[in-house]
Amino acid sequence: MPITVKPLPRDILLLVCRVILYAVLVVFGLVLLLVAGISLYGAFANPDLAARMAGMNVLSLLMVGVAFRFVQLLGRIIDSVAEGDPFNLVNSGRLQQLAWLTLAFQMLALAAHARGGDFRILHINGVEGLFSTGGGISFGGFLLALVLFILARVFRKGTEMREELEGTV
Amino acid sequence: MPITVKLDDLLHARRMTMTELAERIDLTLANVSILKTGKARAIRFSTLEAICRELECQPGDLLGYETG
Repeated sequence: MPITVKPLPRDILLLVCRVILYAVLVVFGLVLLLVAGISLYGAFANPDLAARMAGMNVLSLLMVGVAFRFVQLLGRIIDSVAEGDPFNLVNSGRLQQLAWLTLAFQMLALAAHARGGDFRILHINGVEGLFSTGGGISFGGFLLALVLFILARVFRKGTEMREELEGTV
Repeated sequence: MPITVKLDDLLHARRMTMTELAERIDLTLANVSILKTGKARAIRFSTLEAICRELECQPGDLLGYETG
């Protein structure tokens, strides 16, 4: 199968969005590596810590998975803007998916934060360090989910209106 | 849809082609075709007025309602 490379969007705003999306992916990858690193350290140096990190790892993996899907869907919406036809039912469905993913991310972050409370203070090579999950309930996250649900509805209604207008003679 | 468009009959009775009507009412041939085949979802009053003017008919002559 030939590998196709998507051309860069000519619109500067779309280009910036694309770059930010790739940057977000890189950051999530680094977070995943960090979690894996701490887990490996725990497995070799501190078996007790490793056991406590096990649940955290699963949550982290799920969060990275959710974030990856979020960025992927956002990228597809940006592509549809570049193609010149973003107002369609497919994008409405994507926005709704984004809203559910945001809610899922919030729930996972909350669970990670609740679990992370157990090992906020780590002792690595005799140095006391603070390991904070930094999660918890984020008002911004829930607001984003609400806005995405509304946008999905607006897109669906807009698509219906356009279809009706196209059928008007 | 129970609303029927009787444009075909009217054009036949007036001995007028779709192309000719499209030119007279300033509508694309594609849109006239959509209207004639009953695929239109809505009709503007301005279009209805132009068709009635050119075909010398009433809106009721162009549109019909079928029950069931």
